[in-house]
Amino acid sequence: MKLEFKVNGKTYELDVDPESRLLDVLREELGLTGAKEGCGEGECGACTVIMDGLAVNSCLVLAAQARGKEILTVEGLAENGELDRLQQAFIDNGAIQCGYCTPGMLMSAKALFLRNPHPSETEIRTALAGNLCRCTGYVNIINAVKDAAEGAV
Amino acid sequence: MMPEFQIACPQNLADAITEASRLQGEVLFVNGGTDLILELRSGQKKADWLIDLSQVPELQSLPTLENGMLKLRSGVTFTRLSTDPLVRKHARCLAHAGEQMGSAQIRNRATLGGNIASASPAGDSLPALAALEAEVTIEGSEGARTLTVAEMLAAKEKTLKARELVTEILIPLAEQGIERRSTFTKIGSRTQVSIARLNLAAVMELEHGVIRKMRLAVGAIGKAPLRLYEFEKEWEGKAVKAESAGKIAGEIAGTLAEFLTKTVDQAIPGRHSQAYKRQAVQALAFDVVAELFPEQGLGQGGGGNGGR
Amino acid sequence: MAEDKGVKQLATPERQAAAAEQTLKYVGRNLPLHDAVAKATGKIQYTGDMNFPGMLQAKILFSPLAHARIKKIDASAALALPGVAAVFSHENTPQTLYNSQVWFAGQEARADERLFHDTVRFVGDRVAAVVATDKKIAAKALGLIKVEYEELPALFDPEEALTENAVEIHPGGSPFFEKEFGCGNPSETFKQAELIVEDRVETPKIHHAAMETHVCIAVPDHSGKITVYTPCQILYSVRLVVAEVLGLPYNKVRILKTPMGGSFGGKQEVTIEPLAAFFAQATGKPVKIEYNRQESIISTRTRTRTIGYVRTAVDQNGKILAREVKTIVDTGAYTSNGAIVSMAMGKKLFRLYRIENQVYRVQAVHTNTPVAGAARGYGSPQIHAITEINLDHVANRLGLDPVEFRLRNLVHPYDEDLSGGPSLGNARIIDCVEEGAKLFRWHERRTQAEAGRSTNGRFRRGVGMACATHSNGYFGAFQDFTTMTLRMLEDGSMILNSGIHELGCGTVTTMKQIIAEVLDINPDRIEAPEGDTETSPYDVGSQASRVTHICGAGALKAARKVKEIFRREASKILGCEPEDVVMRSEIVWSKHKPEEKMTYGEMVRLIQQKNRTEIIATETYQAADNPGSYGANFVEVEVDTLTGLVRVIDLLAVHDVGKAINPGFVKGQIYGGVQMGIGLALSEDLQIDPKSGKAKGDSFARYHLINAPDMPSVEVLLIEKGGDLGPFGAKSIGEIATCPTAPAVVNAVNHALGTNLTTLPLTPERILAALNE
Repeated sequence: MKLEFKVNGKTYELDVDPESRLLDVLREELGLTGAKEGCGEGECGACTVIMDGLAVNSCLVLAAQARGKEILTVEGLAENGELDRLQQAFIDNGAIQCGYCTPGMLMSAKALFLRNPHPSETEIRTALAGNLCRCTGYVNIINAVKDAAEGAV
Repeated sequence: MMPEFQIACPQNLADAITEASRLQGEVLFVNGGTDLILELRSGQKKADWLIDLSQVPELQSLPTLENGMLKLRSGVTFTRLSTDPLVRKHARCLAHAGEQMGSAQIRNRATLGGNIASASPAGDSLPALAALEAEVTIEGSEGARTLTVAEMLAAKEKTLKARELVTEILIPLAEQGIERRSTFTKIGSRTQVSIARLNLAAVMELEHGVIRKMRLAVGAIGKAPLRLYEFEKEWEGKAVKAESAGKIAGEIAGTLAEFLTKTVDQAIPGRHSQAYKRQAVQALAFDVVAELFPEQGLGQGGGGNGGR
Repeated sequence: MAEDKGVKQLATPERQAAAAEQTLKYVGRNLPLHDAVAKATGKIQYTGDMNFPGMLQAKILFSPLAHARIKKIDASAALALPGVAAVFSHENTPQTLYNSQVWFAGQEARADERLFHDTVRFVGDRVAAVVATDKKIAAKALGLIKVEYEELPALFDPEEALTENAVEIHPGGSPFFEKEFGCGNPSETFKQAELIVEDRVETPKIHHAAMETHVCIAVPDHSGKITVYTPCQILYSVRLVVAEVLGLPYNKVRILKTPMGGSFGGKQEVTIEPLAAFFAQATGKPVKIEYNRQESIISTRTRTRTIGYVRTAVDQNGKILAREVKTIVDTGAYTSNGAIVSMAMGKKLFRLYRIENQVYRVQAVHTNTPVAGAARGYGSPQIHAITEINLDHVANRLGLDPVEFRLRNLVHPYDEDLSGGPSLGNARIIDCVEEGAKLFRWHERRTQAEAGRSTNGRFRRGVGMACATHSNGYFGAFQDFTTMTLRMLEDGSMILNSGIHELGCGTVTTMKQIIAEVLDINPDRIEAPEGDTETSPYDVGSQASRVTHICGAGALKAARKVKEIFRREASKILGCEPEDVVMRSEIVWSKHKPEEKMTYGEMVRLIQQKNRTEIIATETYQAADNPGSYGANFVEVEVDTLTGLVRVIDLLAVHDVGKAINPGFVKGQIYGGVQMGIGLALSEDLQIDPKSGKAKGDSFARYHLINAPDMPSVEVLLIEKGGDLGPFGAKSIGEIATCPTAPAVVNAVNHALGTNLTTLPLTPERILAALNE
């Protein structure tokens, strides 16, 4: 079926399988492999992207449901080659280890900032509750988001 | 892997209903899809057609007040429930349920209509809707009908027939001059992002220091949430004067805790989880009453659970 | 020594930094991960993101039964499906038996795995595979394979495996491995002991839960060579098993380490690589296998379920007189590392406390459950849970403070391992406990928690701690060495060619920092690619907590050799003695002619032109020590006595790491280790159903990791006193980081409730049941 939507500012018109998920289309059709499938059931958040300003698990959105929507993925975070302050804060705070959860973490944090640019630590933890990480214990991820929120970077 | 199906993307509600009756084979509605997509992928559910409601404008419009009712459209997401000022004001327990369900990503997609339609025993919105005595409008090709949540929950069979969908949820407002307090709390196996092992919603309405209404519903101990009718009756008409409020609140909590344990014992006798739930459910009693009487400072200094 | 209290100083981060400033330029600094930008931008290509022209996808059919003989497999319908290239089962695959954890040729290990057996031994065992043009077709075809099983009686309980007439899962039955070792005369000592405290402690099967599931790609070529792209921990282990199963010479199997999306031991053993390699060989096409979460949970590896019986004898002064520890190690349906991990956990018993009379007995058994294997700590989290929970029980019975009790018994620097293992080295566990107790305000907080408890409220606080030790490589057990080649190029940049594996812990950057320190070169000017079995020298792999201590020492040795060669060759150019050659910030000169400076690159070019040689060194570093790494966790918890839910309020992790090459990486390991340890203590368990053998915890919805809201704040204190053979005195951290956490949390809960909970995880049900006793 036909799918017209915007990803990272660019409009796409694609022919997709009805059963394809947004995640499948991003990864396989558009080659945007930043979003990962860590569980396929909306528990790990590795596939998180931003759809019309809200964080969603792209493994739980049918591609067809993204029609007319604006999607932002980790590949679209940096602008004109300049890293988003969240990305820079993740790097500077040692918030990245294996990196597999990183795109999802970044997009959840970005979505938080879109509606709440100065979140408290509790709000940060809540925003990241649906993003699992086995490497970092979240400590430096939370530090990085705090840092970025304070514009300390 | 997901079996093959087609998707219809109607532009409005009327089209959605027409499509549903027109299409051949197994037809399912999808909105947030946070449960359905998984059920389709695992083969638990099968469909020839999905009708996507996620962009049907009538189902997505914002909560409104109409004729003494808070009117919610079935496409309202849990995120919206938790933040909408009208919901927070008139149906706080539903807002709390919205906050405590799933993760931010799930709350951004999952809808109230979907939660009602899937009627999971642990669904977080259902106890809140039961305690709020909400009504649900169901539409299909044969027209619309309205059921109370109590009726829906009491029904032996699935109330939603094939090709029917939930369109609206109506919540009666408190009458003029009546103060409504309400709250919701749950126990999961984690503070956040956990299916409820127990949940409880409470609505209390006060008029000049007298309890006019008490409505409670406990979830995850049966197919549907249970209303605590006997307990409610016991407390209606009781005075909660400022000077004695603390004492009364303590009594309510104590009796509610006992009542809940009894309720669990009756609901799931001999079940493996009975031993745990009969005790843990008491925590809900204390948490809920502490929230109903915020001025009494009944919180016990903990913070392990509850997510708020 | 504990006696040197006077000279001991607290290694605060500030002081460490200050010290590093004075003496070290790159070591001790928080440089970022070498691939952090690629990871932050989503550009890094993990194996799942990679595709090859003509690549096929394989999906595996897993057994729904715990124990059954396969009577018949009918794949005709699957084969008829367009897009299906092949269906494989025991009927058409090599029946070579192998063991998934061997890492060197000639290693003895019970080989009881095959690509596909004609008998399935756990729910999740491999039955067949479909290789097809895409995943969807492969999945569809799986559903068309008809399998007839003859069900066999199954066994899920490791203790039942030791009973007479227990189900025999492999010939000879269980235990398939038994060992006893120790020191002194424990049985005589027990007879005279004033107090003996016994416990039975149980640790669950857990999932490693790397966010990247198991995935690999095998690519055949015209010469018959198979190249495997895999996020693995031990390239040479993969090469060994793949070559054996495919019957290929080692040089016809090439293994390339791809970016690792998390492992924690879960990708240490060889699981899907030989399958993909064989499918690629058989079909002549590249083949990818990518497991989903459920498949990774039940069909790869788990931590061993371990049951420990511990008896500790003490005198009234709190001196441990003797201890006896018996473990039953459940390795699941196949042997894997069952014997080695059984030994590894036992050895730790002799390296943490001075116990003159001690015996360890282990019986390793098979059950019809998911296969256990390497898991962060390699037995240490299990054995320390067993003994550290028991020690708190002992302290409680003695009426002694747990910290005080431990201080009376902990090992001292350079103590010997009484069971005959390598020296403990500069073992600084006493420092960890003393400094940690101070910083955590242990006594004050413990007293506060106890005072608060008397009010008998709903929420009770508890304060607990635990200690642990872990290894630094294989010295004393297996051969341990590494070979590295380091070159300086004509522009002064460098390449380290070695068999290292980056697991996200910072290995690549760590190696660069070490080399940079020796040669005074910007670490960004060094490339340190990960291993490739065709071109990299042999390395034992990222296992046994050996990488920083052993590979780091290898990098140091190679860098020193390069420096020596460079100075020797430069001296000829500069007309001075080698020791007169000054190398500073990539500039070189003779100390006699400081006005004649040139860059390293310019010098390399001159050396090529005039000396007709290049700056390259290949060095082999042979491990010559295996000191203990030590750690102590201090933790406060709050238990909701109505719900049984535990909140970990905060945690202090103190670690004796010798020297932190990159303190940021060290802390990163500790934070992650703590998260994993809390999960082991409170929530993580595969939950094997005792009737069906199915894992109830086979998804992240039913297998709960600690997530961000439940993660406590964690403070880290590093004790950096060097003294061993690691580079700049560095010791391991990745595995020890998780070892003290679970028992510390359990001890805190027991302190809060006055219970003696010993079965992990402490689920709300278990806590309420204990409270109701």
